Amino acid sequence: MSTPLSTTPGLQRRQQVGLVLLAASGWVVLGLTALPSGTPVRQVAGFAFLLTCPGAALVRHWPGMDGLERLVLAVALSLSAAMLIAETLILAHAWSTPLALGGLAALTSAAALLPGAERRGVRR
Amino acid sequence: VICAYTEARWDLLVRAVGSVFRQAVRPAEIVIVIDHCPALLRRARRDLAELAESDDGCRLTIVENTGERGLSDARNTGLRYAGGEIAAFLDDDAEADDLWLSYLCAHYRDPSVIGVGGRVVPQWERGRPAWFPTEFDWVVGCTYRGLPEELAPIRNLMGANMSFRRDAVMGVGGFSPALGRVGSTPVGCEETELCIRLTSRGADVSLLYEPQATVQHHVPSSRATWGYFRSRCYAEGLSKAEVRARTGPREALRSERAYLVSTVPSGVARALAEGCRGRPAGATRAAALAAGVATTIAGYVAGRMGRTPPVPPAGPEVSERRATAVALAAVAALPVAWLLVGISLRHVHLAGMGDLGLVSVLPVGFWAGLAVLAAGFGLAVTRRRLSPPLLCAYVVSLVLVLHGTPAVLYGTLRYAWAWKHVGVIDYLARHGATDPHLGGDLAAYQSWPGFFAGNLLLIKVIGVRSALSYASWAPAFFDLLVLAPLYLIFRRFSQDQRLIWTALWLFCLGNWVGQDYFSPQAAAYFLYLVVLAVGLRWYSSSGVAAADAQVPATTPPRDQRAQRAVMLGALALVVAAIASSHQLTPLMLVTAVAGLVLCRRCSERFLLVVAVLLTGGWIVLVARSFLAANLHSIAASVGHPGGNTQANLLNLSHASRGQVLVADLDRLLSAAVWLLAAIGVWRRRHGLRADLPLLVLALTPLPLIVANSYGGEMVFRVYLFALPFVAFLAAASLFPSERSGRSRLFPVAVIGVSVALLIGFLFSYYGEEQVNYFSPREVAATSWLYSHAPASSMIIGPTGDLPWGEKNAELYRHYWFALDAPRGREQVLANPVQALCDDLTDPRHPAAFLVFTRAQAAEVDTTGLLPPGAIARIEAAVVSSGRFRVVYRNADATIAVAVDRPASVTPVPKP
Repeated sequence: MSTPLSTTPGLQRRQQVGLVLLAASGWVVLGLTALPSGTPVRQVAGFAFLLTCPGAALVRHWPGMDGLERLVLAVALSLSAAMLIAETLILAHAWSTPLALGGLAALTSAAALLPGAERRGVRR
Repeated sequence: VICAYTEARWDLLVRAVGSVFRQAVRPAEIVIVIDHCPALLRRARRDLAELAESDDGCRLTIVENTGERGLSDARNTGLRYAGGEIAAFLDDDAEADDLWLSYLCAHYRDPSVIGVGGRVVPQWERGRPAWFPTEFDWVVGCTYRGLPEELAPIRNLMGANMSFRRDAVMGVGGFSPALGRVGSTPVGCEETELCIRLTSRGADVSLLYEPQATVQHHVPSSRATWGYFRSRCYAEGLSKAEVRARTGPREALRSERAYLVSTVPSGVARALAEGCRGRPAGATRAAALAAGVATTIAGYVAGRMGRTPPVPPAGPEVSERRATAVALAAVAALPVAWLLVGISLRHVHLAGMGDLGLVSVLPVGFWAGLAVLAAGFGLAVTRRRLSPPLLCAYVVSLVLVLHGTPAVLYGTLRYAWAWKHVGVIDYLARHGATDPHLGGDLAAYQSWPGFFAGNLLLIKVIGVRSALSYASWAPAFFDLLVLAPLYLIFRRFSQDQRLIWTALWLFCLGNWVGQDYFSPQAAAYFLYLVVLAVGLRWYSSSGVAAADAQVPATTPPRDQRAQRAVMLGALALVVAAIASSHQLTPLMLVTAVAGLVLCRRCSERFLLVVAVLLTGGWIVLVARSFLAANLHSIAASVGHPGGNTQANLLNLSHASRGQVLVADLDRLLSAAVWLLAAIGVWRRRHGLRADLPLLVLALTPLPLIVANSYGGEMVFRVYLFALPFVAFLAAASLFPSERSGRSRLFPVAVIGVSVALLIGFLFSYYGEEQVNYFSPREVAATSWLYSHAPASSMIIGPTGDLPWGEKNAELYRHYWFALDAPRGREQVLANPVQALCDDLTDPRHPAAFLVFTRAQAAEVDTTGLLPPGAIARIEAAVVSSGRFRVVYRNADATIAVAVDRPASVTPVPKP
């Protein structure tokens, strides 16, 4: 998974670190669910992840947007992904919080670590 | 092309035409454009024709300016009449050297060259004034010190001596008539703006400056004066500001910056050095340089601030002081408003809430705080130096004050439906599945569970027992959230920040329908706006960019199929979330996208296909059992627009006086927003082609009024879905263009509109809070019920306006007698004790509870479901009858059971 990153010369180091953090965010939040209910860090991190992270990873593949567009689409995609994964499990009678959250975490990791639009642009 | 506007320069014109006839390279045609001067036109047709006849090979055409008066349209007219490939412009008071055209034309062999200009040498009528610095020769339209001495690429050519490829100029729309001098009024820069537009089209085109192509420019003594110098400098500054507004700061001022940092200082140094050597003219020239720069900057600053007096303002200090005061007030109003609202909220007595809801208990300080907020916004949005972050702070503050106030004041979740929505999440959490055959209020949610499933994930991830812990803040959250996609949509249609933020402001004030609570429609509405924002930005059909709309920073990669697939896939994700969470929003989305595609304002037809497939697919695959069960009632309301519009206004004749007022203000507010929008459409009628998507999106929800009553709410929903676009057009009634709304009285207009709409909003949105609010005592009563009513209990009450249903909702039955068919209602009214006793002792239910609460009574009284005071009478009759036993009672709630069959008081077994 990490090979495309290390071989991408154009990416700045800070961006790389950011992408790795983004890729890890879902798994961290999954780990935080082990904390007792009402823990502020669990509440803040969980809300922030569901609100922004999957979408933030996905919008990387859509070049040419400015900051606000990126943010809006990141939130819309995150909410949509969370709703769709959760209701798929509900409709399949297979609800499980770790499964839903793990699915989102995997989506986030994959979208964050796959070569982004900027890299594909270089290749063309 | 020679443009002339006055007979006074006849001799010069004749010399100019003569000099063109003498050219070594003969032009194919000479076009003389007469700018709205009939006398000159007659004389030219009579006398200049002789000149042409004496010459063969070169055609002379004399035409009249067909456009607006002014040099720009005169030049455009010339361009249209000229037949050749290259058009050269010569001023009517200039005389070309014989080799002028030879030098200019030589460079057009290079296809990347789209324009060539040359040197303009001043020919002073009475000699050059000693003080007149050569650095400022542009004041008299001549080449100034600081321009290259040999052939070089240049940003802009000088109007007196320039030439272009004709199709290139026509391709960008010619000279802009908004700029350019009219008669002798010295406002210029039209050629600068044109040149910037020409070169910004591509990196591979260039404009050249060829100093050897020389023309002599006549400078009359009237222009060799200090007064002309000053007013021309000021006008140049104004024009530069206008150019900057059109082309952006980088291009507009690139040359000027270089000119200011190198040419002018060295000029001053040279002049001063001369002065030191004992020539007084040097000193005056240095002073003239400094004064020229200062005046130009003053003009530029005035132009940036939107003031366009032809002479420098008389009292700059006064206006400066006023501007500072306004700026201070605009910033200070914000904390003052917060302070007033914050202090006033400590003194609200919710128990005193009357027929007008929250409006009846809000203290004066709250109203004052909102008035200060509106005043601050009015000042901030009409300030000369606009601050978007400040405007953003005002709009965010408005949302927080309007929608955070109930959350802060109540401490309980407002609105009975919000409690039921919390209950749906609870159902999913306990069952891990939906039940499409579940009946009752919650049936629809079982078929469109997206929002609830998402919230289930949220409560599990953040580790809270139920969504009750955050649902109170949903209105503020969703109303803040929608601002972002709205901003994206609005900036497609204007780059005037005043218009954009006023539109957002009006949207918040007009959004009184209350569909922003904790609900699927609130989330779906946000997603709907995101899809439209993306669609308008990335799939807008090319070639319809508005005159003042922002051009996208990067053009979408239309031709790259992979990229298109990524974009469509991402949008499909959002559309799928909409289609699976709400019944109405996907239909609204389909009609909106269909409208855009049909009007050729959306280039991506697959977006429509995706929306139709996902919406239809969801209904067929998942929601079909709900649809089958409800098909009859849905079909019954199709095609009854009268019934569908009237449905929501039921019983208004029985409603309380306060509610009639609230309903009237609802309609008045909605009508006011639409009326403002109509005015906005009228005021922007010249750019309506670019605004077409707004009109389409404002009108596409309307057909759904005919389609369905949607429980009597369709009118409100249609209003809500049209509101963003209506709000933008309404804001356009105040700021139709960048030039409008600059007068000193204008803040008053903005504040007046804001305050009027704000009052309407407060009545409309807060007017029903007597029903929507649940006191802690009412919540305590339902909590008691939950812990004492066994599964399958029957809950009986006047209406369902209870803080109830947030858990185990499907385990209880309920009967709301005030909502029953007229016969049921009449029975209860005629003999309440007997009728309710029969219900409570129905052997089909293991237990039955009779509930009376404050909110239920308020709902019945304000909507007129039963005659005024009926609930209080029924409750008193029940309690005093002796056939009921009161099992729970507080100031706001009473729960009773029938004596004949006392309810078991065992807690509900936890499932």
